[in-house]
Amino acid sequence: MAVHQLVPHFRLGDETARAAVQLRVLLRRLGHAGSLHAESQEPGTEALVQPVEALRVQPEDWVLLHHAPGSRLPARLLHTPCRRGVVFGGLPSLRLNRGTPRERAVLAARARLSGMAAHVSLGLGLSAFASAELSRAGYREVHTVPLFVEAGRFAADRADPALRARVESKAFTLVSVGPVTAEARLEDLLALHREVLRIRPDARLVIAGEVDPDLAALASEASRTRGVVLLGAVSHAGRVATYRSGSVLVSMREDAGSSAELLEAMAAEVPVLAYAAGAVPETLDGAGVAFDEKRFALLAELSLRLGTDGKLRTRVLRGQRRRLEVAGPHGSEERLSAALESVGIHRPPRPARRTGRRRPRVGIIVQRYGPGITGGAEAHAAQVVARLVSRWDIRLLTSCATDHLTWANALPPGETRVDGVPVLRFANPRPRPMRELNALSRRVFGRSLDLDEEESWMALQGPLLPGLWRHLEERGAEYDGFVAFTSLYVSTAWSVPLVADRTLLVPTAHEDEALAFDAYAEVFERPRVLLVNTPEELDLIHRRFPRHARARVVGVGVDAPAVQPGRFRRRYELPGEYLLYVGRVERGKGIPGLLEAYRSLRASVTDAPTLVLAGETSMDVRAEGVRVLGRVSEPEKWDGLAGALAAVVPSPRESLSLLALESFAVGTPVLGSAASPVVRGHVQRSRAGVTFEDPATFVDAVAEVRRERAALARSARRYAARYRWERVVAAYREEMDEMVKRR
Amino acid sequence: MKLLGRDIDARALLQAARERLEARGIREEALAVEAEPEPVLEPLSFLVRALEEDEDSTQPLAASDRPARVSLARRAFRLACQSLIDEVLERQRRFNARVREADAQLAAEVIQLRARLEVLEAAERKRGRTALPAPRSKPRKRRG
Repeated sequence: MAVHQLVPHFRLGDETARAAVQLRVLLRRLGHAGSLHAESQEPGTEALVQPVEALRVQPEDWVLLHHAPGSRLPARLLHTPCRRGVVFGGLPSLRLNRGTPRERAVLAARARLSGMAAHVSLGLGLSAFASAELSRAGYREVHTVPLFVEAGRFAADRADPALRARVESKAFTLVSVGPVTAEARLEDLLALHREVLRIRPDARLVIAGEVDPDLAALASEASRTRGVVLLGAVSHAGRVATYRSGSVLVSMREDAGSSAELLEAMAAEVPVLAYAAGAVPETLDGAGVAFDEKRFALLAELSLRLGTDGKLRTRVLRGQRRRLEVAGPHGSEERLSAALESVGIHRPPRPARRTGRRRPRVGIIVQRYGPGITGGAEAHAAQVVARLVSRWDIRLLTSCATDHLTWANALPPGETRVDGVPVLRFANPRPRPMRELNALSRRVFGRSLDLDEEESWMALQGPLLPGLWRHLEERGAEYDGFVAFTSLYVSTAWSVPLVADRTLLVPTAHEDEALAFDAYAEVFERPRVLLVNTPEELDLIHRRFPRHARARVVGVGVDAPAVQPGRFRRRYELPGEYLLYVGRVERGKGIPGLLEAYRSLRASVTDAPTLVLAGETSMDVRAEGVRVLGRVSEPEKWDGLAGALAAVVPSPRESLSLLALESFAVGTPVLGSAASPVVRGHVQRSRAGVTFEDPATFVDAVAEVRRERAALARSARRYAARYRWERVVAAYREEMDEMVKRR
Repeated sequence: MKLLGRDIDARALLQAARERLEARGIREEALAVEAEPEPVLEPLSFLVRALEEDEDSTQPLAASDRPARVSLARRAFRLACQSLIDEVLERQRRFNARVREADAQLAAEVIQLRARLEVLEAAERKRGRTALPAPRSKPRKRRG
């Protein structure tokens, strides 16, 4: 059974969007597939969130509705043939909106909330305060699942430096973060600020959050008040900068159903002073300072003391850190699990105990698979399958794509066989729009994001395989274990949490901006074991995700066939020396840099070797001395490598560099990019190559290879002999057997 | 005023703040904040009332529901053409009234039935049975 969610309006950064994405992450951890659907949504989120009209349910599925004013979704939910739940973070206060244009919408939302009660089996309050409202509205099975806060996202280095420089000041600063609605009580913040100004004339009040248009007059008054900075809506990095620029985070909010900003402030190491209303007391849970009356002169004195008395501040911050320890995802996961269990949404069943000497049934999860599909991780998966198919009962779980740029469904979905091995293909409902992805990547890479923004990028990256996720939930028990390839793609990243304790992950991770996303922690921390390719890859994972699962450097084996270099030379008319690159000829592989270096080489020496590029080409590489062969067969590749002066590995992003290893196996040295730690590692350990950083060092490197080729070739063969398939296969089998035995 | 927090000496902190206020010659009253729980609305009755509010399609929307400039232009149009508007929308107005009446009738029935069900269930519980039996399916007609 899948657990879907309905959201009235999905906008990144909104509390509803954050709640929906957090629940999606927790549901995955609990083994449940499901999709997000919205009545309306921010442009650019279409990969993560589908329209409501696209919701397809099976009778045993659950649909959780996030309730908000103005939504037409309650009627839709009541007429959707499925099991139903409501997620509730509170509604705008009727008391505070009486007589305003919003009053009718608030009344209607409250009526709809009550109207759904008899038809909904589960109410999830985002706070005990919200849960109490659900109970009063007639919901019977009500549970509280608070939103979680990942403290690391509010660290000092996550703050927007420009905004921080703008708002930071030595003066005493009160900060307030969150939507400026009637509930935020802007008038009370101003009253407090005016009292602080009477004691500290240079004091400031920094307010970050979108201002409700109905409060325009009040906002205008605020902006005219001395020391008040109204930032409007800010990004996640902006929120961090705002928190961190404050002496004290102050909240005058009333009737708020959840108070995530208080926990965020704690994570950003700011003392919290909050009016004890709505969900505030339970959110603080004894940390920070809460008050029960609005006496602004007294509060001004208190806030100054809290922000400037070193000892008091240290004590409060220490208590807030303790509070945060139980505000992480683990606590919310436990609460959600209990809530789901109460209505019979159990974790998917585990595989039955193995009897006899049956081969373990293993699902291999990989983004693409099939004849003619090239790509490092895909080839890696195919090689592992070929060597383990006699030991394991293997089934490939993959997409219908052959093109790694669009993930378009080129092959039919369903069961087929490739080289006798069963392959189950799942369709991708939304091909990848590369231009949109590249534009988004330019906007978000290098910036600090919140979980919903990261998941939105990951969804756009694809490939989206909802069928695979449902298969893992509903039929995962048929498998003793899984081997999942390539951590970067959601085909793996969102599959691993569903079956984490039965998964061996082959991350094939390399330096990539997306690896900065905390959302990838799920992939690296939750599997049973990581089977990495090189010590450099392990080092990278360890630096980025120090709490990663146990890891083991396994790599691959390289078996060089008998080669005939002359055959390649004759076929492609290459009588002289040549440098050979084999792989996808595209920007991401460092080809532009290689071409520039090669031009320098031709300008420096008269007898420059030919540069031969073999592989699928997606860029213009025409240049003097460059031969473009297109795709070559496996025997041609080996013959070509054996006859080359050196193999060139220009990619700065490698997790293994199969090209380098295959080159070494036939005694050919490597000219490798020094920008890739993996290639650098191979070259240093093997002493069978030379690295280059720029055109000048490339010229020197070619000269060195020419001088030392015989010695380099001997070292290459010695190094390649370490990469034996028997060792690799033994490692995979050992880990799978151990996993199955422990179960 | 009370201060809450595990990591503070609330009494001492409050006392010190009060002393400073006194030294500055300030005495203040607390801002009165209503703390009533949000109302729970009976959805069927609410919908009947909401239908009633919007029943007459010949009447203008509240001024707050649209921008001021638009309001002014429409008001002028209404003054000139109200009788035409009434005539054109008369059938819609009658239809709305019937929908509202039908909805009110059905809602009243549902509310009454729910109340009767509650009474019956309470009586059943009193007699020691936990719930009413599920409704029996209709006996099948024999063919032939």
